[in-house]
Amino acid sequence: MRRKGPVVAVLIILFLLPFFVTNNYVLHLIIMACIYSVLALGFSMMWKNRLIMAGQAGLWAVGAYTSALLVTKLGLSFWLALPASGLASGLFALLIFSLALRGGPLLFFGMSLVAGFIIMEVLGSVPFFGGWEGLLDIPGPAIGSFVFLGKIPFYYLALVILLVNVAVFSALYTSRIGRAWTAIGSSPRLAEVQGINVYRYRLASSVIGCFFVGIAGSFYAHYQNLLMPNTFSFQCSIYVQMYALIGGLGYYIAGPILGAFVMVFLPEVLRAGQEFQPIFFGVLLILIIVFLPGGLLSIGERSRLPGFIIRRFRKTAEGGGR
Amino acid sequence: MTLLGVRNLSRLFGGVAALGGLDLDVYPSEILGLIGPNGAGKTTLFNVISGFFAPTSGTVQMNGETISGLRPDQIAARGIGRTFQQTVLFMKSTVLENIIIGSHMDFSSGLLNQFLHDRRARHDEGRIKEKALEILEFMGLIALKEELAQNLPHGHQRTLGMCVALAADPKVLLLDEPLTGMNQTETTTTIGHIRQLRDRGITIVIVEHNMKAVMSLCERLVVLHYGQKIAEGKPEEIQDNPAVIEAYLGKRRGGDAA
Repeated sequence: MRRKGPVVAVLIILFLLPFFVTNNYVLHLIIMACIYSVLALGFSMMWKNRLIMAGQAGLWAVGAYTSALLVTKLGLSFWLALPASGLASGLFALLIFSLALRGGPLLFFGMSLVAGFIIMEVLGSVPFFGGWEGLLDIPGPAIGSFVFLGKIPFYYLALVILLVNVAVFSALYTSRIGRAWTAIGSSPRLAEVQGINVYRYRLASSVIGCFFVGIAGSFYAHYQNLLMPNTFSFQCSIYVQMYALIGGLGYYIAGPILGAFVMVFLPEVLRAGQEFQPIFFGVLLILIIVFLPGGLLSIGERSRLPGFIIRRFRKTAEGGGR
Repeated sequence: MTLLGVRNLSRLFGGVAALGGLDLDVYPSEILGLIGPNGAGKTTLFNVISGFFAPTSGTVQMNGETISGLRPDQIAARGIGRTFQQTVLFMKSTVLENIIIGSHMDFSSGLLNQFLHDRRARHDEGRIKEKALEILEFMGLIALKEELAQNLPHGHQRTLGMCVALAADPKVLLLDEPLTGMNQTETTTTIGHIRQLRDRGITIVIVEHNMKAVMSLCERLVVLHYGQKIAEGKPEEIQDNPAVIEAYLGKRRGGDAA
């Protein structure tokens, strides 16, 4: 509401982007970064009340497979399957996390981790879901006779999904709900004493986060036209966490998005060999945790960066850690 | 007429009884002091009343309604606020935000209003902000309203803890060692605040080791020892009670206590 100018400028640039970016591969990377941003935004929402979601890929798969099956087996329109897969992921999260959260954040972490593994195994092992060979021939979205072909319509769809996600999350974060999440993240004990139902607010964050992850899954299914269970591996969940962490865990909107874009584009810029990427990411992650625990976005906030680095380095060298 | 009633309350940790069949009455608009040596069960009592521990047996009643067994947020909704022995605040938020977050229960606009940030929600926000400023003014923290809680000196953090508790509009306020680590001036100011809160109709239960402060502040004292009430009465009666002296100083060897 206050800073309208820059927001409008960014929106115009985003909507005109396909006119400047003509390279299809670059456009593909942008589309994937948008989708990963949605996954990381969901992770951040749960992190806001100090829940560590370790099965983001699994919930993503729930959305993707729901959408693909609704369209291919039932002949449903993509535009109905899109919200339906969001609901499917949201309901799935409600089911498992309403149980897990009774045991607290640690059980939430464990349960989300296990759920991620189980979902991938079930998708690969049950023939109905297409098995390890994957689910093929998923049609792209269409509006009337206009069928989505090429990257540009998908870019706009991905962009709209991301923008809606950002708008909804921003509205939530500035409301009483977001304040309750901040309270829980800061001190669950004090939050309870002030009358906040910690269980219910934590559950709400996981369901809302997973709803958008499901939407992203639906988009992904119809963008790729095929789904492989291996896409939704544990490694994918870890990457989602890395996006949020590298961007900055304290920045619940900008952090995940910046992290996702950096992590999608950096390997391309460096032209690193595919097999070295995990090593490179691992080193990058360690460097960020040691030198920039606040993430990339905290660079702007720390005008005294050099001194801070030196102190941090000295501490680490002395074996003090942390 | 009892406002907050504790009935035959026990709480065991393993085999140790932190509270052993405690009975306690808190009357409206009084300042009740809860004293006793370390490990007497004072903080455990607060934790059971505010819902962090379930009692092993016995009940806690607020206005005649049994509240033991409820969740902390449900107990807060029934008008019981508390502060903590350690400084517990929303450290990364500003002083003002701390109180606005603490006013969680005071929002009357619905989820949809909140989400759309419409006129009703904005009206709500304005009202709550005004209330928060009033609390800060009253407690003397108004000049620090934009500071981060983590950057405040210890004494101000303790005061802010009380402000946050007040934001929830408690009928009964449980203060767990509110004067710890305060200097003489801060102690005097805080005692003044507590008296004023009582004058505003808030019932205060206070656990405190600063005996001088307790004696001047409280109208009634309850002495706990090993989870049981060993004495109760006016400060001057308690001071000379042999059982209390024994609990604090131990028994005089051989001779009689007097």
